Amino acid sequence: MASQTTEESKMAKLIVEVLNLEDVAPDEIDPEAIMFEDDGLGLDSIDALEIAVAIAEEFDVHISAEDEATKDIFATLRNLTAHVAQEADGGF
Amino acid sequence: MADSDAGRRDALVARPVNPPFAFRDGAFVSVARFIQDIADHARALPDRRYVVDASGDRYDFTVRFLAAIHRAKVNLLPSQRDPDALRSLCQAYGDAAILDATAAASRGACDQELPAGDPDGLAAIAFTSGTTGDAQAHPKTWAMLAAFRNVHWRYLSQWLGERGAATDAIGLVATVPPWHMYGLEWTVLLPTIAPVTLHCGGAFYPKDVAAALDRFDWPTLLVTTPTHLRAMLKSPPPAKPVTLTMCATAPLDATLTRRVEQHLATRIIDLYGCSEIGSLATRHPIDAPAWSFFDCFGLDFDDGRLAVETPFLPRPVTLADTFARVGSHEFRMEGRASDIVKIGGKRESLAKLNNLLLAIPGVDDGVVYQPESLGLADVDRLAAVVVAPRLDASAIRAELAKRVDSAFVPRPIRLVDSLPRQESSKLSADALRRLVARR
Repeated sequence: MASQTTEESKMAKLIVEVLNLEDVAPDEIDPEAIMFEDDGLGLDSIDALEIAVAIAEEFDVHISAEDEATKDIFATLRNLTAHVAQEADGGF
Repeated sequence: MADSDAGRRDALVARPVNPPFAFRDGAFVSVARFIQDIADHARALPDRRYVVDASGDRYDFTVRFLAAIHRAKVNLLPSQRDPDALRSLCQAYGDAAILDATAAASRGACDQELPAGDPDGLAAIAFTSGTTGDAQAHPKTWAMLAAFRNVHWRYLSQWLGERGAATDAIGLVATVPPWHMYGLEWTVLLPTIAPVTLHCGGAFYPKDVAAALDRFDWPTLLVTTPTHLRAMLKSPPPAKPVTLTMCATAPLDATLTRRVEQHLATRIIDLYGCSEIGSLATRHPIDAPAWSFFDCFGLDFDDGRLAVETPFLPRPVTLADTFARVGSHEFRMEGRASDIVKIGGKRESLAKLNNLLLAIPGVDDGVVYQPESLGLADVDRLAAVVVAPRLDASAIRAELAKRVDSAFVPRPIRLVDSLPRQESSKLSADALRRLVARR
């Protein structure tokens, strides 16, 4: 798997904590794997909502389905991290 | 049923032409255009008795749902919407047709008074999970759907009046899918009788819900769930007050109600229902915490159990929860009498989930259960404690994910050496809590 950047590892920790994925080690999440498929993390739309809330709290970035290609934003740890880094005023 | 609910039962759409029917893709859709779309889609429907809509769009769903009823066809409303589940449902119903966005419709002449093809015939079948694992079918006639639609509009007008709001134009924003009974009644059927403009598209993340509500210059109704309301508390609210916020799928507590009402400048209508009938009762978690049942229902109360009677069903429906009577149509909920759990608006049987867990090769013992909500930020996920010396939690999760909707895959899955079963082989809630809390 591809290796995580510092920002991606921070995001991975947030996701694991928020979603109670205690059998997943944050540093084992492949930043390029599709998170919402059963052979990835198997996340669903409730999880997307939870992640969106956590990102709003942590980075003051509010995810919108009307952002271009929200599906792409949530597809992988890498995309999500890049989107938040781009939108966050205070940065990571 | 009140006299005002009786009129125009056969009409698919019996509402004022203003305000527009929908707001979609940045533009309003007129009521005339909506009716034209129903007529066009009705002509294009395949020659099958059963149809199932596979697209996720609220406007398209509404048009095709009504088009099918106009042609006296039956809408199947599965809660499992993955391609495999849809295919096997279609086979079970004699090659039902799957409708998707590619079903093209040509323009034709349109009678603005579209009637139901067979008002007393079957219009839809809603499905919920049964304890045995097979989906239970809940048939609905158009007469039943239309009668309840009229009752809902009568109540909604009253609630708007209590808020000092006009009742001639309502902007409706929903976070719940149209194919569940809750979404069907309040976002598909209600706008066919009430002067509602239905916001279609992308109201899911809090920012989108707020933006959708702010599209409207008139009173607004938000149709949503506790999960979405918790999320909205952590996001900037809409600029304008939300006239009414309807919430269903799990009872709201007083704390969340108070915070939501402050944050959205709204009034909560907490809704209770069952799949067999639909919406049954409402309450306000602080001011009137007992459930007040709609006056169209006959209620038979005996030893904590409540049976609901309507002229549309051959037998009364005994509710899964237990109640205490506090008035002629008011009942306080006491507890859960069944093993059905609801997550994200979906229903599943705990007994079925436990059977699936124990059926996984390598699982020696285990239990799936619903921990109490741990606080405002938590989605009420299920948890599992499992004895499976040769498996890890992710393998168990992957096995379960193949068999049930992801909403019901337990999280956390805790592996233990043995379960603290009592002599009756039952597990106490306390023992489970201690096990799961221990990391």
